[in-house]
Amino acid sequence: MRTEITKELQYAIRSGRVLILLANFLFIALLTPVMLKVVLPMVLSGQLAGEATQGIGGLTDMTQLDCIRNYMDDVLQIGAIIIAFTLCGLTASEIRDNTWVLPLCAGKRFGRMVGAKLLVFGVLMVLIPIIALLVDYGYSGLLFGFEIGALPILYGGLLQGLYVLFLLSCLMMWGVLLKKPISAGFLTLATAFGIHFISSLLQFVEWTPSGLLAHANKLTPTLDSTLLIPLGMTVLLIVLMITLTLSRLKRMEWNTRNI
Amino acid sequence: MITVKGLTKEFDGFRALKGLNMHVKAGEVYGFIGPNGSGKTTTMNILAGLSHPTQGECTVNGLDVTKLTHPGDLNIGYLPEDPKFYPWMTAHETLGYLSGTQNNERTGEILKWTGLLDARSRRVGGFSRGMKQRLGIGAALIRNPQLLILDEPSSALDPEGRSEVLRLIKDLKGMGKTVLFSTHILDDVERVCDTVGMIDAGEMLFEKPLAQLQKENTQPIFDIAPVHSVEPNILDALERLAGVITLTKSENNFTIKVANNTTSVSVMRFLADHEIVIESFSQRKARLEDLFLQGVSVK
Repeated sequence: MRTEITKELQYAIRSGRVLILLANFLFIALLTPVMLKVVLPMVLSGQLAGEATQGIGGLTDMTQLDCIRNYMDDVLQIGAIIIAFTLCGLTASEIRDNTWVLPLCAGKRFGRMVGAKLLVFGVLMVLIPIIALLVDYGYSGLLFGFEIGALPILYGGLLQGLYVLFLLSCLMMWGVLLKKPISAGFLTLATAFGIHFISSLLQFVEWTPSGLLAHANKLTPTLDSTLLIPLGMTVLLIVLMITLTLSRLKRMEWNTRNI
Repeated sequence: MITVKGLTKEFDGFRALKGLNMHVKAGEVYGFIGPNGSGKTTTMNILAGLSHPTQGECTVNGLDVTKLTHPGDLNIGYLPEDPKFYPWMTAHETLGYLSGTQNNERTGEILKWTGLLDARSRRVGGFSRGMKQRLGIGAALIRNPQLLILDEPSSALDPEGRSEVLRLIKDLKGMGKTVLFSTHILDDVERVCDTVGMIDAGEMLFEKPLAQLQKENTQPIFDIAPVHSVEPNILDALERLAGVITLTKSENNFTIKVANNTTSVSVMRFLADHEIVIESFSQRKARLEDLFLQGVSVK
């Protein structure tokens, strides 16, 4: 397993995937406090010029907590799109480009190859939202004044990271089923946003991975039953998707001439 | 080492293999020849455990390929027609990854044998096609298997690259390995193979030791280049001439395989009688290429 993990780490770094994801998350983390502190009041005062400016204070009177929640709302909407299209080739490209043919003939197992991807990119995708959230926490604290401790931030970042793990498993599953990176990216987004939309509409968000995001946004570290339900459902979905991925891989034909 | 009986493979109703039979003995270099699209890669994919046959028996290294759950269980070395490596990995990292260990000694040995020791720290993405083929052969040998299946290892290479690949195949034979390799470069087969199998349209046309094949085809061959094109009915008459075994037409000339040298006299007389002006008339021994063309045209 060591060589598989090393290979995935090398890929993540040398292909620039980690850098792209980190840069995007950090960009949003740094941009949100500036937007709320500087740009938003300027835009609002410009738009309401000459009119009663009494309400502007209320609209722009943001706190660090508001800023962090704003960031958390935005980052996974934009972040999901970035993740989906940056990592869409994780399994699909390996199949389409036949790069798994030589490793398979050399005795590499599907479980290890997929497991190494999930482990390396999983750890990275848990770390990146945490790092970005900590940066947002620090910067918003400087601009608005510190309001909360770092523990709720770590908690929120971890839950976001777990949600990203769900996205990652989804990407790997669609990649294996469709063998086309872009299609895998689109279907992952359709799955994630579809679940979020339908569960919000029918009011069962707590039973879906989207429930993790709702909990993350609260920024109150707790481990009660309301968190265990979305957590359990997310883990269950990840296990199901990885099982489906492995089962499909075992029945697949290799070294085909892909068009 | 490899036994194939009645192998059939269908793709969406298209029968790529139609009851193929094949036998590769331990320690031999087996040349698998056939025109493009004849089923060579399909056969090799099945033998490597990468594809599932529709019907038939297939035993590789003592294992029933039809019951295989993972290609790696066969413990063979396989080189695809167009080996795909990770372009961001170096040659050394590639072999290290495929071997599954950090055994620098083994990867170093293979890099040296394939002539890639100086390029070990270069990324594979920058390698020439010949270097990739050599790395591919090295990768096939990384687990030290007894059987290697090489799909078109020398095709699309320049003469230097081809000769280097053939040198590696000869070395493998020297190591006592069994090699099955496909090609449409018949000269390569004549240079390194012990046995030749020819496939066309998913069926094995013949499978014989190269020496036997050459012995059976000692009859002389005449390559005749006429100045003007010859009427088809005259060529038909020539084909029926006593002593003429086969006549193969190509664009500007025709090739006649005859029973013995004395037939050349009657062939020349026939050409003179029909006032066929010729540009050249040369005699040679049968090559594998003639058998190949003959086999394809008979089909």
